[in-house]
Amino acid sequence: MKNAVYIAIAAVLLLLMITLGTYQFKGDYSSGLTLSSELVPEGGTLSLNEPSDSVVPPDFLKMKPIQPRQPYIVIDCYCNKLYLRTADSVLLEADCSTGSGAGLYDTVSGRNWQFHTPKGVFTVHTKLPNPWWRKPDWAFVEEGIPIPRVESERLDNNMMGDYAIGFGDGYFIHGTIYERLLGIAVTHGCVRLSADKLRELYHRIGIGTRIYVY
Amino acid sequence: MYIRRHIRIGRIVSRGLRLFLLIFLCLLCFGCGGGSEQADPTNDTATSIKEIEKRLALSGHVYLIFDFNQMEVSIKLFGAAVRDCKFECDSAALDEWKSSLVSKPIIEDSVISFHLSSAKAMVGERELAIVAEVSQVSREEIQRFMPEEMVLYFGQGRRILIKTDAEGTPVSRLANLGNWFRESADAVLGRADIELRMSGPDAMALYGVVREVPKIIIKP
Repeated sequence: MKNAVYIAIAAVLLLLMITLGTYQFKGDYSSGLTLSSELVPEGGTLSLNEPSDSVVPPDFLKMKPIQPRQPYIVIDCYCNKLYLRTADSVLLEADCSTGSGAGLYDTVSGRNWQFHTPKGVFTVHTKLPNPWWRKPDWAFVEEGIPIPRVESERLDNNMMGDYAIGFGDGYFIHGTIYERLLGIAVTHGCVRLSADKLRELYHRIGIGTRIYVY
Repeated sequence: MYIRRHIRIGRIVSRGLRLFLLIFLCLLCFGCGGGSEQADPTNDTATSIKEIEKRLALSGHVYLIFDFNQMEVSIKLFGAAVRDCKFECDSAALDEWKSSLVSKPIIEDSVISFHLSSAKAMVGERELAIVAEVSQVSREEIQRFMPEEMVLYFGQGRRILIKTDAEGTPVSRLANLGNWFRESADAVLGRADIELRMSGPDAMALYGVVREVPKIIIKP
C-alpha cells in the first residue's frame, strides 16, 4: 500500500513538472510577441552595415523604428507638403518647397552640387529666431559672381524669414520671400514655408522632434 | 505467506503504474491542447506582420501597408505612419479579391510597376517656365501630377486600379494603349485585380511613393 502511495506521489510530481514545463514554453512564446510589438528591443542599436543602401543620415542610426508618441514633422517631397502630426491626426498642414534636384558645376574650382532635400529620418537640432543666412559658395557660383573673401559679405538677414528649424548637415526649415512658389520644388535642399505656418510650427515643436522626409 | 504478500504488492504496483500511465496520458492530451492554442493563426499573422514590418522599417526606405479591413493604405517610414490614405471599394469586388489571396493571410510584395493613365497637372505653365529656366531642371521633373486614374502592378500579376475625382487628362495616349493590351492579357489570364477610390491628394502622395518602387504589405 505504501509503495502505491509513493508511486502516486512520484507520478503527480512528474506530471506537475511536465505541466510546468508546458507553461514555461507558453511564457516564452508570449514574451516573444511582446518583443515583436516594439520594432527594436529595448537597448537595441542598429548596425552600421544594415542600411548600407539607405539614403538616411547618421541620425537614423541612433533611433528606434517606432511610431512616435510625441507630434512629429512629415515632409512629402513629391507633393511639397509639410505636416505636423501624431499617429492619429494631422495638427498642421502647409504647402512647402523642397529641393529642386538641380545640379550646379563650378567651372573655376571643378566642384559639383546637387540640390536635393535629403530623405529619411531626422531630428530637430536647432531653433533659431531671426536667422541670418551665411551664403555658401554655391550661392555665388549660381549668381555668377566671385566668392567673397570677407565673411560679412556672405551674410544675408532677409532670405530665411523669421525662424529657422535646423535638422542637421546645414538643412533648415525656414521662411521665404518667394511665397508664390510654395508647392513647387525650387530650393537648394532646405524646406521653405510661409511666414504664418512657419511661426505656428516653430512654436509647436521642440528640439528632438522627429522629422520624416520622403 | 511470503509469496502471497509479494503477489499483493505486485498487484498494487501494477494498479499504481496503470493509474500513473492514465493520468500521464490525460495530461499529455491537455498539454497538446495547450500547444494547439498557441498555434492560433491570428497570433501567427500578427507576429509575421510585426516581423515583416520591423524588417521594412529598418531598411530606412518608405513602405506601404494595404489594409483591406481598415480600408486604408498607410504610407510608413521607419515605423511611423507618414500618411493614411482612406479608400472605398465595391464589397463584392473586395470579396472576390480576398478569395484570390487565400493562400496566405498576409502578403509581402513590392510595387513592380505602375501606370498613370490620366492626371491633373499641378504646376501652372507660367510657374513651370520660370522655375525651369532658373533652376535648369526639366519641366517634367518639376511638374507634379494628381492622378485621376492609375494602376499599380504587384507580383504574380496582382493589380490595383486607383481612381479619384481629380479632373485629369491622358498623360500619354500611346502608354495608355500599351496598358490596355496589358490589362486585356491579364483579364484573359484571370489575374487578380481590384478598383479603389480615394481622394486626389491621397492618390498624389501614393503616386509620389510608388515611383520609388516601395515594398508593401497586403492585409487581405
